[in-house]
Amino acid sequence: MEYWYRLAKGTSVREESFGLLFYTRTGPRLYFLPSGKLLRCDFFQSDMTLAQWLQTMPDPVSSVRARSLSAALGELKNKGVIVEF
Amino acid sequence: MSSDLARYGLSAPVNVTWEITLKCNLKCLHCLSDAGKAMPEELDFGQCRLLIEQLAAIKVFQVNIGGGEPFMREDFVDLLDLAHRNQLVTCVSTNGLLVDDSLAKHLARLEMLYLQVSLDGATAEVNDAIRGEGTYHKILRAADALARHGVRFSLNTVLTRINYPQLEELRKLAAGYGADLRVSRFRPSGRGKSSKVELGPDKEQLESFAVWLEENQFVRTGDSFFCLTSENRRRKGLDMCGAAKMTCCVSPSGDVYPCAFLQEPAFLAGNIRRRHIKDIWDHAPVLDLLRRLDVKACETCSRFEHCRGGCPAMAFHTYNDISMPDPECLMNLRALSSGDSPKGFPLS
Repeated sequence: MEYWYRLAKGTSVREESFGLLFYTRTGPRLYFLPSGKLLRCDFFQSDMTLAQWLQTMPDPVSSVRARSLSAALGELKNKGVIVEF
Repeated sequence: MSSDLARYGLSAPVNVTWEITLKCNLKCLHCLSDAGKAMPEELDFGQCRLLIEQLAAIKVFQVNIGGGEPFMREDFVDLLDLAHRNQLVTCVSTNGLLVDDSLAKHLARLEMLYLQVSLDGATAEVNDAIRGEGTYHKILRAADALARHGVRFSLNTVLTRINYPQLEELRKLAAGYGADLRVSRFRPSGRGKSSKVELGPDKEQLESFAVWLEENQFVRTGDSFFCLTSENRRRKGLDMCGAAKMTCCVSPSGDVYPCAFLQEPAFLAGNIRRRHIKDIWDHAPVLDLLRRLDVKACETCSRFEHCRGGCPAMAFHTYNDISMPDPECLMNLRALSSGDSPKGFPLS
């Protein structure tokens, strides 16, 4: 959870009721991240790690939920949808 | 992460099919839009700009532009530039007849453009029987120009009874240009209604095509064949009809429909001259109808999770009822082959 993420070149993202919807121009392909209201698009422009971002939530986020979200972001990184910086 | 999350509709379309003009310099036998002359009230440049700005504002990712022949519009290149400046990826379907070196050179500079060039046969005899005399060589000249200038494009073929035997040659032809082959589904809308008997692929061809698709993973389908696709291919795309859930269609005059193949009065959702597209997307009853559509006859089928009943437009154009199963789904084709009764639809 100590990584900073940015959208990869050619990726767009928008907020949906289930979480975030990513679109990559390569393919093109869609990726669904069921993150609820925990992440917003501007997370990928922020200077916060996931852990720091989750601390800004009004209600505490369980460690299980946080780990699951971290794993999902890792998966998106492995697929080239987002990048670490 | 699954498209299940989109089943009941998203906040906005992922992509919008935009038939930007009905004007066309060809008269293809299977044209879904029955294109030829421009419609009397096509959107002018200012109205097109407004639509582009609306699509960008609601974060539509991609606009699939067809027609008609989009390049017949004198302002089309300007509209493309405008879409890209608004961060909309465009996928343009063209017959290629107006693509020359000068246009190809310009298109090569557009990073957010995908181009699909229609070709309906690997030989002049087959292609020209569908698209018109002399078109085969003109299309290949366009492909030559695009390849020469480094434009990314795919060759798009509508699967028909007469070009089915040439699929492998078409795939190789595309590969020769460094392009993908994209195969689209013949649908009996527009002029396809009257050419269905002559051109619609038969059930043996569709069954064999499903096998061929599995063996040719890099052939694109734009997911129009999701009712036929294997588990392997399913991971590459949709497992349900995206109409009103992930996509909708805007006609040359600004009418909004669930998809390009359901441009019928019964499916008119609104017009962008009078309502913002977000308002239409959120509130049009006909879009809600598509989102809640249950193809009950298919619910016990072993492939239900693969297709959820298939293409409602195929059901509509065949049975005048979108809640009927897709008549060309793999299970019904197999049932017909084995002499069993297909599920849920009349044999007559």
